[in-house]
Amino acid sequence: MVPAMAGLSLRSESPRMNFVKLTTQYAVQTVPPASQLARPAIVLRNVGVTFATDTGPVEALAKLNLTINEHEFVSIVGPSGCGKSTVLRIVASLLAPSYGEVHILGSSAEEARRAYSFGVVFQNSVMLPWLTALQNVRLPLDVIAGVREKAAPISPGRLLEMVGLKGYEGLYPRQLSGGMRQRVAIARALSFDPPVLLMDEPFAAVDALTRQKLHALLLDIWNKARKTVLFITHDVYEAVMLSDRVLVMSRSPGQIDAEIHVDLPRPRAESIKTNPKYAALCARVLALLTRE
Amino acid sequence: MRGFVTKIWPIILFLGIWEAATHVFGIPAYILPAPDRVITRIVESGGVLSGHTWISVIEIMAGFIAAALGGFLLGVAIVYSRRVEQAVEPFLVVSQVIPKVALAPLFIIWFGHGLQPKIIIAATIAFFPVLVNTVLGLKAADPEIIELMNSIAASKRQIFWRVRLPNSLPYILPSLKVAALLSVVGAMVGEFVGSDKGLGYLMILGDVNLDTDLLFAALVLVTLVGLVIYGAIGLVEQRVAHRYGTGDGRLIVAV
Repeated sequence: MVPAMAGLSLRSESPRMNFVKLTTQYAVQTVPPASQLARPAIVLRNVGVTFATDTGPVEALAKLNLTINEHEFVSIVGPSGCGKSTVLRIVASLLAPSYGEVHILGSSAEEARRAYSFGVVFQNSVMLPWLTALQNVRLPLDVIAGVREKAAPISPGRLLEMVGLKGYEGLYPRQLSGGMRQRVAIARALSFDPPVLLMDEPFAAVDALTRQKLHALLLDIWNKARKTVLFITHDVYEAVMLSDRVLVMSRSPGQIDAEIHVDLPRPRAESIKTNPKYAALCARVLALLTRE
Repeated sequence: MRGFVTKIWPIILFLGIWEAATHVFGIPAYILPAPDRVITRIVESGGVLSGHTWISVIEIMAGFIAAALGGFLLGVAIVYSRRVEQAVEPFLVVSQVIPKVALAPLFIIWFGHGLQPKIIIAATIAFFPVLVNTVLGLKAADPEIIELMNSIAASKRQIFWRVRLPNSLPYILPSLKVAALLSVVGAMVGEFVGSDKGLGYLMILGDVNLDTDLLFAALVLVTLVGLVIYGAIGLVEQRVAHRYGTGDGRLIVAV
């Protein structure tokens, strides 16, 4: 798997700088400004969403601020219904915020979507059932080719190999397990080599053992490609294991309550779970989640 | 071949009982001709019958194609345009209440005794199930897949060709089978009401002259025509179902 990843490596791999501005009212930790500025990849400024429902308007997100730097892996954890998936949908320009600004790599979310700046991995793998695994991976490239010419940075076949599905190219989604389909979904999100990866509870629907393997895969991919990742999950342990920073959300209205810097060494693997620091960090996040 | 035999033996048995019954009970041929008489008649009058069959096939196929295209295109228009949907909806409801075969005499007045009125009747009857299932199939596309397509900035056209249309195929194809059979009904009704050609005309002719052999011969031929069209679409449907799955499309049939 390792040599196949080499081509994925993008942009500079300078040490990441944790220069973070988090200005919600409950911010429990502020980060000292770093001497060297990391470029922000995803910025949400004072973003709110209000849904109209039968029983009146519901404020899903309120005055939310968020900055994710380039090459940073950031998770948002929170109880169900806190609006964490709504954050991702706003970043992905699948939902327009009621107010506030969204910037992705200096563009609006809509422009970023049209520039193919991000790939999205959804909770359910979302396969086109009449396409094979390989055709599903190639789908974004086909769609992009229909709009403008853009050569595939890595061939879809190699991507499938990379996510451990060599030999499964010709199978249809119904012939694949849930974990395999999620691997295809990851390969698809990477197919056009976007600088940003948006993942909406991607491993919530697979069993524990499969999830472990997918964690290893994602860590491997991140190590080599250093994509900026926004990862939505309700699994605290997963968030701590994968991320550079964990943001804790609360509901009604959805806001970011706290952030935890995960200063565990990289590259990480399953063994990180034996690190006492890992356990302490998980406990801190859990405490923040359950304190209300 | 074995499968074919297991499917066909009840029919052969039925024909055998029919043949025997006409002889044993001495049923007169003008009431119920024995199968062998019908077959003999088809062979003897082959030339005349094939001409009339050909006329009916043209009417049925033209009516079917018009219904399939019209139903599909209007279905697409309804799904993609709120205005078209609003404009068409009341007419669709009313058109379902009107028994469309009752329009046949009117179409004869308007379009004469040629092929046109039969084609129009066939198309009118056959069109509705295609329309309904096209709308159902296009609307049944998985919203998550649409969202995925939006996330990769796919255009409306790309979403139609890559998602909505393939998704609607398992809905549309069964409706085409129904439409084919309804086209046969429409063409026959049209010929009953006013014509001097076609299998429906031969049935009326056999009826008037108490030539029951002829009536049965025409009946057998029109059944064969229906079976061939139905079977052909069924083959396409099987291939589609293999790749695109089977839709849980409801079939709405109103004659």
